[in-house]
Amino acid sequence: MKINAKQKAENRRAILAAAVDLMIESGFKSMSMRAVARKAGVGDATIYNYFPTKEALIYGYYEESLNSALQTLMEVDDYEQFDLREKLQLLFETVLEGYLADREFVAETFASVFFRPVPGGKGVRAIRARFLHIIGEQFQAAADSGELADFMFKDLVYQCIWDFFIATTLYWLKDESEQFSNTTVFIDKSLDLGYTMLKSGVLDKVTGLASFLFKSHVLSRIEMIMDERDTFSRIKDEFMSYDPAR
Amino acid sequence: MTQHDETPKGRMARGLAYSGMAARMGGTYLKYAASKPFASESGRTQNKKNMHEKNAEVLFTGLSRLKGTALKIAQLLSLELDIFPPEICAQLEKSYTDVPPMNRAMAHKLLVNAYGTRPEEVFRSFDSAAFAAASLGQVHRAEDLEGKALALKVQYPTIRQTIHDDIRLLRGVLRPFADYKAMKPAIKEIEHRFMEETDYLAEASNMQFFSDNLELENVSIPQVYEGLCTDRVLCMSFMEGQPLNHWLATSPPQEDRDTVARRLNRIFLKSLYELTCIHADPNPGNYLIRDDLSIGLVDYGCVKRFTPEFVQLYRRLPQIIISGDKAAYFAALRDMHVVDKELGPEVEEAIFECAYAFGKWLGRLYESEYFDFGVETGFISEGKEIMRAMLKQRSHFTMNPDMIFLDRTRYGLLRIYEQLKCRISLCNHYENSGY
Repeated sequence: MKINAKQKAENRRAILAAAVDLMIESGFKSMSMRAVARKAGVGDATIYNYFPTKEALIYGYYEESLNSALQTLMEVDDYEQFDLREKLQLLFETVLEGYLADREFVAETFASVFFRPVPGGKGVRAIRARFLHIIGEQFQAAADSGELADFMFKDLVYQCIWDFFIATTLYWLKDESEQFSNTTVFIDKSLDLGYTMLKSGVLDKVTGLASFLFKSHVLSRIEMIMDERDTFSRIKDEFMSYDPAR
Repeated sequence: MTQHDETPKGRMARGLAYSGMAARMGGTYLKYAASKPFASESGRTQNKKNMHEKNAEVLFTGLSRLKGTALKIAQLLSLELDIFPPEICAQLEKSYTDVPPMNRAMAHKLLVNAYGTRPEEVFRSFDSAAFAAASLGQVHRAEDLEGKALALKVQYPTIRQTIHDDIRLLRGVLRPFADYKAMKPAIKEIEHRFMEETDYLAEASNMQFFSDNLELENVSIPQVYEGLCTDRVLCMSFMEGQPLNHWLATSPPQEDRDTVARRLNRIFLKSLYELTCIHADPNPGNYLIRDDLSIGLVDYGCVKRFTPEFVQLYRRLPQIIISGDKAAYFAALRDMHVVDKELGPEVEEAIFECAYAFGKWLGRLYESEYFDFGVETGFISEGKEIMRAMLKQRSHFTMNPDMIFLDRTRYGLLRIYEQLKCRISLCNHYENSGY
């Protein structure tokens, strides 16, 4: 039976919701794909069309929550008038609001998925790519409106924001303040700092500094080596031109 | 609009801002102390004046770098202690209503926290950029689902902790100053009031009380939307009108200024003598003047209730002072628990002398039918001198907090009348019917 894209998206969401519920109830290990399929009301085999493995369910959840956060952002009345810093803040807050209903699930899975010394597999890469894409669009909008001057190492900055997002979520998971207001303030203040640094072109200054250091240290060392080389060739010349008969 | 501003956040940064301020003020004092022995008498006064202005300036720059609490403290200092030179007062007045706001994302988040859902689902529209600053929060426009215009007052999520930290820092900054002891109770009072002002449910019930009871023609009070109020979000109907200080800047004619002053005076008298409860925050930003000169009274964070007995006693006070009846005066003070101790005849005489001067000063307001603040320009500063003399006797008084609030409000109103340069009749049937 052919089903349309809308139906497909709904099924996907239903499966993810069922998986989250089951995992909160009984944990990842004892959760079976069949139980998820039953709870979501899809066929035992159909579920594999959406998620081939149990791990894929977890990755699917995080990707889906990014998408629905983005959807929510777009529905904010005056979103277009937000500046970059506000957009970032809103994105963070909205994603966390999305996690709120499934907090136990997120607490259970987040660290193991995102926070490990070796970057995760394909699943994590897809989520990160989605996140970086959203961030990239927000930066692009800021560049288009002239809010932010062009700067170097964009990818590095996006990557930093991704890391910051992971740190924020971990902070949020440990936050016991009323309505997680500490997290809200944490986001507000750190973004303030980051944005100020971006605006004032700290990064470019750092780059300038780096190239200065590179020039003054590395290049001067090369010159020293050049000197050495000269010395070496002089000795060689002397040696080669040595005439014992003389 | 970008809301990037230089407000230092976090206890560390705020601490640095304050301590920088203390160091600089200390520096100015040192300079004065060093030059003192060499300066002539008149030069000394000039020096001292310069120093005060310099300090006020430094204090102001320091305070204005901190939002919220500091802003409020700045307001209180300018209104009550009156220590700032006029140029700085003008700056401060601007700050009553023109404060750099919290950013849009934050405002949005605050509503999500308050309602548990996105503002788009609660309101037809919500403007995430604030249109006005409240002392410890800010005010946003919104429309409810039926399209009625609303004003939403929201506060920064950790404002209570911030107040606590700020006050502690302020204590540290002020400790080295000679006047610190005298300021101590004031600082305590300030902290207490801030805590009260951050409880928006209490404010909502105050507003409801006034809107049920004040009922004055040409005075309107915002309607509370109880269902949409939480302790951190106050939802009320939107009030048209310009803040009094903005309105005054448009140079309205004498007649209009008189009308506005008359209405302000009526609000005060009716609140005190009929409701025994006053709006105790006479900040020009809290009076919205409309085109038809009707007044919108906003901000009920600082409301003071009195017992009917206290109001009865207070009512007689102006007449007693003006009449010069010493026995009646002290009897009234005792009844109001302003004087509790037995006072020696000398002290009594000294206090009464001050009170008499004060009464004579106050009496001028009631002497003729109309008092013209435009002509009597030095009136308030004269009164301030007398009050200062009175303050020297303060060890004999028990500071009745009711009295402090009442005096502050009255004094604030007189200041506004003076700014309005209005011609107003202050005689009223509450206070002028003998005692």
